Amino acid sequence: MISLTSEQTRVVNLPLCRAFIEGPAGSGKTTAAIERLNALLQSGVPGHTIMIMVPQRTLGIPYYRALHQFQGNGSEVTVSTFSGLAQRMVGLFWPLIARDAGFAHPEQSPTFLTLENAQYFMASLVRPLLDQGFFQTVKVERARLYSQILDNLNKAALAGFPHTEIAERLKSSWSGAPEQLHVYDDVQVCVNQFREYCLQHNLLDFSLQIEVFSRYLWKTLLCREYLLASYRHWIVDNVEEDIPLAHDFLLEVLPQADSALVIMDTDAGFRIFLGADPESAARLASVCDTDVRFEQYSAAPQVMRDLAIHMRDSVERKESRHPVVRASFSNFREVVEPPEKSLRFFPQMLDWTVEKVVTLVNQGVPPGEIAILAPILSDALRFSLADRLERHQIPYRTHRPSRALNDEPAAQCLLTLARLAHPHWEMLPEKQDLQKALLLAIEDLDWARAHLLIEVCYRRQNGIMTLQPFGEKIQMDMRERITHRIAERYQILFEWLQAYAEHPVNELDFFFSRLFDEVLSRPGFGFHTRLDAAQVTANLIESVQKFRRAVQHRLGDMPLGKEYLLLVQEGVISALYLMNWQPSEQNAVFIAPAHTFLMNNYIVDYQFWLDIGAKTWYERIFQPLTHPIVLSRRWEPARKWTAEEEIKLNRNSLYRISLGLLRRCRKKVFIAYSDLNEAGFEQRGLLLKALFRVLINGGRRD
Amino acid sequence: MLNQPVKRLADQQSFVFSQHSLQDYADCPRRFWLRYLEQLAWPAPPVEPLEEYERHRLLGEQFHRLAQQALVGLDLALLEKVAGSDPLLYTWWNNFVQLYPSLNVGQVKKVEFALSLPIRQYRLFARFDFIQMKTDPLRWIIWDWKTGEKVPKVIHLSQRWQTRVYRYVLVEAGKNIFGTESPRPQDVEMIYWFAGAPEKSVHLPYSQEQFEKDRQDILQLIDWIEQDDVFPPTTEEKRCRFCVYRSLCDRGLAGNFLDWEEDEEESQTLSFDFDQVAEIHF
Ligand code: SF4
Repeated sequence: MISLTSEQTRVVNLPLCRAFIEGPAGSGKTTAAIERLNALLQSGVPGHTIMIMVPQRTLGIPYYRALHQFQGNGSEVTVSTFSGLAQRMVGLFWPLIARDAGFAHPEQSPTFLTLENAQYFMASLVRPLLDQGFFQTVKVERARLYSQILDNLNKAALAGFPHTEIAERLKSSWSGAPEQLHVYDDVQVCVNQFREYCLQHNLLDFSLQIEVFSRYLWKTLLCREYLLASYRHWIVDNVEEDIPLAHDFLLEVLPQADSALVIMDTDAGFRIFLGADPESAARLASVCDTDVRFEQYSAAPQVMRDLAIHMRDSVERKESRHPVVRASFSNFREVVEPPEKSLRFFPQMLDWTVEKVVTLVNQGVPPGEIAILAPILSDALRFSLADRLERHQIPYRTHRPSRALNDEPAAQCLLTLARLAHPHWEMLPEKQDLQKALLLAIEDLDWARAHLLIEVCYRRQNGIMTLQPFGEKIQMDMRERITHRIAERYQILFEWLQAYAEHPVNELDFFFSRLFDEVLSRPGFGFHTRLDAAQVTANLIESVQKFRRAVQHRLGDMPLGKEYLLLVQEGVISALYLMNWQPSEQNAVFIAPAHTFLMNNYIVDYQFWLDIGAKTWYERIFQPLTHPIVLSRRWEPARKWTAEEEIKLNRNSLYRISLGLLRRCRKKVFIAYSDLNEAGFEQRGLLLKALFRVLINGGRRD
Repeated sequence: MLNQPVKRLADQQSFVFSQHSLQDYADCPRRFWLRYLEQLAWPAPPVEPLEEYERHRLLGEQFHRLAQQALVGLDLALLEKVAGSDPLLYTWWNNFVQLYPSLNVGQVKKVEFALSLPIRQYRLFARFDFIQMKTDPLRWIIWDWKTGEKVPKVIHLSQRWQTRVYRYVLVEAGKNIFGTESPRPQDVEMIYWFAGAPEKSVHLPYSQEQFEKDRQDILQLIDWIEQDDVFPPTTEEKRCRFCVYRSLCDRGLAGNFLDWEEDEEESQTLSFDFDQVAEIHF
């Protein structure tokens, strides 16, 4: 039984009413809400009448855990995001609104697009336009170009303005060189074509799901009555991270509910770039009849909270308005630890970080109480850290339910064998790729024999590379070197591919599934004992299957598999999303981008902030085709976005992130930096400067 | 690791039992261990030809969706147009429309409804296609839509864990949900309704005696699972034909779709389904 503060007890014991709970991160609001949930269930409120709404699924995890442990009989409590609810409702009430929403085939089922599949359709519409000279002045990778165009649609939907106004809004706020205005016109043509295409083919990308729900479905009596009757009790957590449309929806729903808890973190809004709007969230207080402020308790110690305040002043380069006695500046040194000596290179910084982690763990700190945070976590950085921790046998967990396709040998093996099995795609693999694939596919095959095997069995015939049987023609010494056992296994794979060639299928996922079942996962083959390879195969099959079901109407004679492989090559499909990904409960060091850590709402004893000289801690990534603030509801159309606005935004972002992190740290922050960054450049960004100002003179101007 | 089970039920922080997991253990303890304790993805075709299996499965899902839409109040004429997209789906739909008036009555109508209850330190979960309560005489009916080609024997259905778990959970968990009206075993009936052959639908009434027996048997099975540290493969090899772990256990090739008995996909049992959200960074 956990002991509750008086504020928490008050929330748990509230009568059925609508309460607005406000307070800083780590002050125990979610714990109070979970106890309130238990109290509701124990008092006989049926689970199916309770809706828990969170802005991102990870924030629902504490509620899921509590529900798993609930000791009563019951019906199912719903935990959902606003967009998840919108998608579920559109699926359920589709025939009711499909025609009004402008879909050409309301009598057919809708297809909900994954991010990748939406990018595929965007890519197929934009490619011909690129040939016509669209986006000539823009220098970004193709995959990012497509995703930024889609991002515009999402932003318009989340803010609630028509997609046809995107270019106008971007142009009217632009204060730079006039050439950029053409780029925004190009964007508008693309989004218009994409939306039109979706309507013609019953495709719903993220933006269209949100729009159809808010503009059409929510206005129908049937859907409204269904939702209002189904969910009588609402718990809405981290409302400051949600989008204005979700707030609009809640403003209508909550007054009709039997009870509601609306929970808001002060000084948060980390998802501003994904449309979060804390000011809009504050409107929900107006439909609540009780306010509870959480001020008593904090997970972070006083010194950490003082540090956070001084960081804010330092970031804003103000004299501190919060006088602290001199002694507390030296206390800051006890909770912030920089490297003892200056580190020149990036790998040295990683070594220092892992050394410190090892020391902590040796001192008895549970690995789960340590988080290593970076502004951006590239696959290379993730790998470098993971590798170093593994060498010290320190458990770690990664931050996301996805894996980079290029880093997965099993996926590469399957894709190579698919190319081999479909010569008409004209994408036959290179020798070294096939060698790698066989190395994984055939158990006990080593590099040298794989090389020999390829030399004798993958040869040019009639001008094209062809796989050959391991036949009589192969010389005896070669046969002996490769060994009979390996030859036999190779021959099974060869014969399977030969038989397949007689009856090839267009469903690439079926090809993978059968190849896995009939050969690769059988005894003697590489996937039989590699459980991880089976998992990757399952992920790949799921990705292909979703792709196939979304695109089959448009392919015509184009082989589906070839199209999929081209997307992989272009980088549009670059990751495999793990099915049924469960957040790991292990006691392991958490490696994540700082924002992901914040959005998981974890609190740990020790944090490592990597590369604090980097500007990526607060600067936006380069997005020439979109703008997160200009396309938000808060921005007045026609107002210019200037350099001052950008600086203000950067400082604000840095302030929020450092405050958020410090409030989620109980003991110490290790600040890691090197003179040269990952790319070999010197960087002395705002975070580094602000932190040192605080550590040296308490944040006062030098 | 595969020849030596490492994960046991007792190692799980929280475990949710369902008709699927209990049935899997009853059919083959090894399968239960691989699927639920190791959570081992094994992407082999459950049945061949895959093409037919997929088509049937998708149509089955569409039918379930149409039934749900009808029961939440969408206009049947609108839904008929959707059903018209495939002749087999249309046949099923027409059969459903005949049944619809008898479904659209009653004091309680719960569509796609999930109930769960604590059992030992775990939970037991069931998701129902449709629960209906009618008076005069009082009946609690659990409807389960079946779209498989084969109609199983009554005896076989009555012994399946789906039947036992569904009726038991409705009575046990229903106490809290439906208040004073809560279902008593003798008022409960489960109906397997075959969309392609409604005349062959199977009605399985319940009783206090069977309820007590179900409780004992469920607890007994959970005890066995708790004590099991071997999870042996089944000795009845015919059970392997429709099991995806065939290649792992070296138990032959996929069985044929025509011999396959429909087994609906496991529904989400209080698990996570993560949105594909772009990473946040600046
Ligand atoms: S293949 Fe057979 S033995 Fe192996 S898990 Fe499946 S049913 Fe059990």
